[in-house]
Amino acid sequence: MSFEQQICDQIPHLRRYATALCGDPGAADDLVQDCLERALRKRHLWRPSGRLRSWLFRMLYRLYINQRTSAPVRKEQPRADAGLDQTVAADQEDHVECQQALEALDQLPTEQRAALLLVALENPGYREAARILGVRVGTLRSRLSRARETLRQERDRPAVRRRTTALKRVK
Amino acid sequence: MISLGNRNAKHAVTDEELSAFADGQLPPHRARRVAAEIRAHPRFADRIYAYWRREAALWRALDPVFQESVPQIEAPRARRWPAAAALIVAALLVTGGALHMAGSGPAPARFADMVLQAYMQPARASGEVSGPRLFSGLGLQPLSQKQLKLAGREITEYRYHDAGSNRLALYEMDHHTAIQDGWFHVMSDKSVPLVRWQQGGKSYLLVGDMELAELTRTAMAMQQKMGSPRVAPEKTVPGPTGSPSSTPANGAPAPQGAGTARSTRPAPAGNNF
Repeated sequence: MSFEQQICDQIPHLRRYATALCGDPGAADDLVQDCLERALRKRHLWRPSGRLRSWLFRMLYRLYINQRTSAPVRKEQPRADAGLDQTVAADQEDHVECQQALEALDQLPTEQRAALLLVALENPGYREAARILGVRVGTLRSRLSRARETLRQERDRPAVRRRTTALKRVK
Repeated sequence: MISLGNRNAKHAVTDEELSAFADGQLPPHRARRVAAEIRAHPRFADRIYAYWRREAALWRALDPVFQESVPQIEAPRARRWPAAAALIVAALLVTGGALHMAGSGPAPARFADMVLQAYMQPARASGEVSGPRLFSGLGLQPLSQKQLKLAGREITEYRYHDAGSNRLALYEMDHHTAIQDGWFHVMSDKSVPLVRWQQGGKSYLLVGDMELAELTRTAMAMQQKMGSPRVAPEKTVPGPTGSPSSTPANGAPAPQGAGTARSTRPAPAGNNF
């Protein structure tokens, strides 16, 4: 399979991960496009012996981090309606759970969210995930664990408290 | 850390280990130990179930993004994403675009409009197409070759039929368009898809009654047939028709507008891969 075909195969994966990271389909599309363009420009740096998925995801993640750090005005703002535009199953209970999961995801620090989403959505091994995120396996394990605990505790919290903490204090 | 009393106790299970166990990423000997702890302490199983359930919800929430097909580009200002996919297809053989100095030719859109008008005119099949544009091996049946003069520019039109009897035409202009780069430009907002590129000091535009992806593949094959421009930076090589042309260096910055309309937001800084 050609390099380009392999890239094409990864587009839906990249897009899903980018959407999950950015929380905004438009920003995610921009991110994926940047990633694809960069991949094509830098294709000479890709070693055929390496895994293209890791290479692309690492590129995407770094672009995402760069965008967050180099453009403060574009920094992610927690949105009360984050994820509302996601399509979910018609089943109400399922919808609520998906909604809660997305909201809880917004509460996580970027690094934890990136780690959890990568492992949960793409299911790479820890070594590959650590390589993508540019951290040690131990760091990845720690981030995953903390992210999962936060999500779990968030889920167990009463709904009223959740809503209360979502309100912003205005002086 | 899960409170099991003494952290150093032989049977202690950390949060990290539970998390890694949930992912099946623990070494076998440690996984066996954690499994034993889970059997002994059902709350650990509950915790792992909660992890899985939360992540399954995330999966369900985000899976529609994965399942989405690439929407069609309906207008030049359509989302960049569909164009990104088109760009990937179109840039299979990207020559490493680099913006040159602006040329003296018409604007790309103008060039496209001109040839589109010519393409819509009925053509008389003569079967005469000169050697370099026969593209043997691509399954194209030559129909005709014609010199056109559009807006004062000499343009050569080559018409073909492909294996599926779809008609297509290649237009060759002895000038660069005003914007010069080494990219394929996909123009799907026209009534028929167009692919434009530049090579060897000339501009080419391929039009065809077929899917954009198929047309793009054909364009790339044609570009290959006419000579690969991928060479080391700074070198000057003969173009497909023998004229010298400076080839863009691989890895050069992508041209603005390549493939689609680009947003004007600044590119992220740093981090070369």
